[in-house]
Amino acid sequence: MRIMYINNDASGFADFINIAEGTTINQFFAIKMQGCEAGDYLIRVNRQHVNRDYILQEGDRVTITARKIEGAIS
Amino acid sequence: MSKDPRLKITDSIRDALIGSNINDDLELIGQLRRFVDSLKTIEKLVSKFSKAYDNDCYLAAEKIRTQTGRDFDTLSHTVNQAKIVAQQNRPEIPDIKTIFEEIANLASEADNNLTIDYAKNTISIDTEPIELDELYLGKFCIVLNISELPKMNSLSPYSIIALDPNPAATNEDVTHPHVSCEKLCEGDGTVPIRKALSQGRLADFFTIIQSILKTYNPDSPYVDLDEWDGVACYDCGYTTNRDNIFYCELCSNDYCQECSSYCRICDETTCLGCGGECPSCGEFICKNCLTECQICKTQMCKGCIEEGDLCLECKTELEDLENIENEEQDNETCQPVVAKIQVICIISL
Repeated sequence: MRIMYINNDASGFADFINIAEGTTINQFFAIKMQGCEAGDYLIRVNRQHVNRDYILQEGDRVTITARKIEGAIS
Repeated sequence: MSKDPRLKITDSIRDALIGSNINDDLELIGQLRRFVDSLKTIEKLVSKFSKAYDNDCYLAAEKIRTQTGRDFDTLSHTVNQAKIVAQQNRPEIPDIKTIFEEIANLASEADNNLTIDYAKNTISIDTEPIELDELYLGKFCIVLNISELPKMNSLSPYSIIALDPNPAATNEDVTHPHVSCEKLCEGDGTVPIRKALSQGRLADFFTIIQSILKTYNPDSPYVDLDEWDGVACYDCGYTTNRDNIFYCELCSNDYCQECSSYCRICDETTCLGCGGECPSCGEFICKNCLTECQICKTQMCKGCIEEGDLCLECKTELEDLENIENEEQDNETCQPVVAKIQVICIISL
């Protein structure tokens, strides 16, 4: 199953990826953001906040954005 | 029927994103021009090089050879730069529907905090009041200027305006540890911000900016939160920025320029209380470089203390005293001899 995954962490990754059918957003986060706390991120599916048990659907657009990003003088 | 006002800004955003790609193309054209110029320079050198050999001008040939090496470096740099620009993945320009959905989503999430100014071609969102480490910084307005989107790779197309400013005491342009003159130092957010904007992901853009504003990075602020209200001089209490504060190594406190000096012997910065004027030469000396005269007990700089830890005055007095004593001793040893001579003279007479 193909979904659009946008990770707004340092590299600003945004691409289509394949995932297993029946994957919940919670499982997806655990796979993609290993070692990270879900509470530290804003997780949206199709621009909306969803329940952690939400099962991802074909063509969904998942956005993960850190709640804390460090600014710095370049 | 009039066009939905949100569609107007949607059109504008799409045009700006297309313009951003055009700017990339213009940059590539510039790089290619520089590449062609470098090639022409090398072509001329080749011609000069062969002429120099034809005319047995070996010294000139050697110079051209060195120059060619430098020009190859320039050529190689130009090729690499052109390659980087040419191979960049151009972001796909989102369609009108996608951009419209982004704006609709922004409007639903931001409630009344979203402002679309068609005349100025801006979209702005007001943040919640921001507080970092118990320092209240107030609300900020994130203003995205659509007209500046095509130049997003060289200029920041957005501003951060403090609505209820509590600027740093030492610099009123700094309204947030990471905002100066309404511009955000993006740090870790730089790449995600550019990517979000170039792909028309406006909601992500505003979210990332808010995440930066809500985070304090103590390693690289314009002004430290600890020094937001300035650094006070330990002596007079004058508040100033860190650059104008001097640390006294002797008492471990911060002092303003007026309340500090440096030792003319060891060059250490010290406060006025940890040093003083040498009574002999009048120079400022730290207390570590003061030495006490063994006789008068006056403290003065090491430069004004003579051998035997004596000040010049005491040393001179001591020497005078010694001289007198010596003279007296000399007189005492001379008197019996004179008497003897007198006796001998009398006897001989």
